[in-house]
Amino acid sequence: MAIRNRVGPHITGQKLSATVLVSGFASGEVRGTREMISFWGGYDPETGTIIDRRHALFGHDLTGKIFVVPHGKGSSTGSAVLLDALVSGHAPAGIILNRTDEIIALGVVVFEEFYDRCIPVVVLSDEDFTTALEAKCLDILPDGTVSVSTDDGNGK
Amino acid sequence: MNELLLSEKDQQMLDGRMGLGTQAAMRIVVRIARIQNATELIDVSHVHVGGSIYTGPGSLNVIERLVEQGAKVRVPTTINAISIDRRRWKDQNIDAEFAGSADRLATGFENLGAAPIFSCTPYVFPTAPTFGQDIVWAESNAIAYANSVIGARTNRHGDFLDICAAITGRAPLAGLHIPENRHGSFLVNVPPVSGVDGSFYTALGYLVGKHAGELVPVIDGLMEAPSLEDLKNFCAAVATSGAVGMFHIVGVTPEAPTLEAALGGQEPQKTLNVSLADLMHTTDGLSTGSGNKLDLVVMGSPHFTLGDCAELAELVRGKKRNAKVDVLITTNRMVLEEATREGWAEMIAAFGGRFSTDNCLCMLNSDMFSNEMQTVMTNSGKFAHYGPGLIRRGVYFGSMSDCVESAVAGAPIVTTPEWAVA
Repeated sequence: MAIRNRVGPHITGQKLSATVLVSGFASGEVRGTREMISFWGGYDPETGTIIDRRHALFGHDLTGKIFVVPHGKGSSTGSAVLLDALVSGHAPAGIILNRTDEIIALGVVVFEEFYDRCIPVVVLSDEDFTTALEAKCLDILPDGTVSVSTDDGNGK
Repeated sequence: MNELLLSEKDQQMLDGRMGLGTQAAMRIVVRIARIQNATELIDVSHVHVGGSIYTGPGSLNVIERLVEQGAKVRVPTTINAISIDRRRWKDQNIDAEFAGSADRLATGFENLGAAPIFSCTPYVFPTAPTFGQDIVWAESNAIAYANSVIGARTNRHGDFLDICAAITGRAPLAGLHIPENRHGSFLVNVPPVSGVDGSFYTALGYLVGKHAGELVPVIDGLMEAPSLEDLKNFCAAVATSGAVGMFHIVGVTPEAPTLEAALGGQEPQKTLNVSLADLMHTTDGLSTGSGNKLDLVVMGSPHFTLGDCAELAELVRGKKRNAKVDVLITTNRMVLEEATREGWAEMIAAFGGRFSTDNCLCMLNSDMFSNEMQTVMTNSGKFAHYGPGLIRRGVYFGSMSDCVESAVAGAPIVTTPEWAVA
C-alpha cells in the first residue's frame, strides 16, 4: 500500500544517507539523469535551463529542483556558471551526485563564502543514487539524510 | 575522513593575518581540501586561471571583492581566454554592456597580479611549467595537456579554486598530485592507421572521453608520433566528452615510456578496442549541421597554435573564400604576432580569414549572429560539441582542409578522412 508522504520534516518515506560536500536543507521535485553534465555550455545560468542539445534533459528547467546527476564533466568553468545560477536564483535547490565532484561543489562553496547562502550538495552510493533517481520528490537535510517521498507533496 | 594538517603559514592566512582576500581564498582552498579528503596542502609553482570567461554578475562580483580586499597572487599566474577581443569587440556585434562586464572581469584578474596572456593554450607560452611540477591549471584542455604531455601535476580544478590557489600559493594534496593516482587504468587499443590528421585525434579523444569515466586512459598502438596540434586536439576532445584530466600515450607522453610503466604495473580496469568504424561513427556524430549553404567557418578552439597557422596558410595558398562565407580564427596575441612575422597571417588574411585574439570560440553566443547566419562549420571537436548549445545553430565538423574547401565553395563539404580508408 502506498504511503502518502508530505514533503517536509515529518516525512516518513525511505531515508538514504549521503556524504555531505556542502551542507544545507532542500526540498523539491526531482530532475534526474544518469548522463554527466557540463554546467558550462550545458546550463543557462540566467534561466536554469539545460542547453546541451545532446543531453537527455535538454530544455528542462532545473530552477528549484533537486538535480540528481552522477558527476560533472567537461569545462572547469562549471563552478562559475553554477555560482551565477545561484546568484540569479536559477540554480537547482539541491544537487545529489554519485561521485564527489569538486567543480560542482566549488561553485556552491564560493557562493556560501561570498554570499552567505548555499544549497546542499551530497553524494549517494550507487544503490541509493538509483533510488533517488527514481524518486519524484526528495528532501535533503543538513546532516546528509535524503528522504524519499513518492508523491509531489501536494496530494494527487 | 582524514584530518587536514595545515602549516603555520596556512593557519596565518586562514586566521586573516595576511589580509581579508587571502583569508577568503584560504578558506575556500581548505574547504575543497576537506571535500577531497586531503591530508595537507602543497606549494604550487604556477597557476592558470580559467574564471576569466564572463558567466555573469555573480562571479564578477567575487573577483572584484578579492581585489577590494587587497588580495594578490603569490605565484606566477596566467589568465585564460576572456569573453571579448579587447581590440576588436566593437566590430564584432558585441553588446556594449556585456563587453564592459567581460573587460571588468579581465581587469580584475590583472589587478590581482595575473599575466594577461588571454589564452586557452597556456602550454605554448614560455611560462609553461616543466615535468614533475605541482601546478594549478584551469581550462579542461590545458589540464589534460599539462598532466599528460608535460608531466606537470594538476587536478581538474574548477574556477575560483585556481585564483584562490594563486593568492595562497597552496593547493590540496589530492588526486593527480599523488603519483599513484596518475597511473593508467583504462587501456585503449588503437588499430593500425595511416594518413592521420587532426580529425583523427579529435575523434579518438572524443571517443575515449566518452568511455573513460573516472579512469586514466592509456592509448596504445599509435604508429606515428603526434604533433603538438594533434595532442591539443586530443586533449580538447577527451576533456569535452568526458572528465579526463590525464591520459597516457605509450611511447609518446613522458610517464608512458612503455605500456607497463603507463599502467604502473597494474592490470587495466577496463579495455576498449577501437575500430576505424567507431572513429568514423564518432566523427559523423560530431556534425549537427543541416542545409547546404555555408555561412561561417570557425577555427581555433582551443586557440590556433603557430603550427595551425602554418598548416592553414599552406592550405589556403592561392585560394579565396566565397564572399558569403565568414572565416573566423581565434588565437592569442603572441601566436598572432609570430604568425605575422612568418607571413602566415597575411596569407590567411588574403584568403579572407579574419583573426580574433583574447577570446575564443567558446565565447561565441547566439546574439552575435543575424538570423541569416544559419550554417556553421568547424575543425574543432570542442566547438562541434559546445557550439550548438552556445549559438543555437547546427555545426558541421570536418578537417581543416574540409573547412578551407567549404569556405571556397560556399557549401559544407565533408570528405572521408584518409585515415578512415583502410
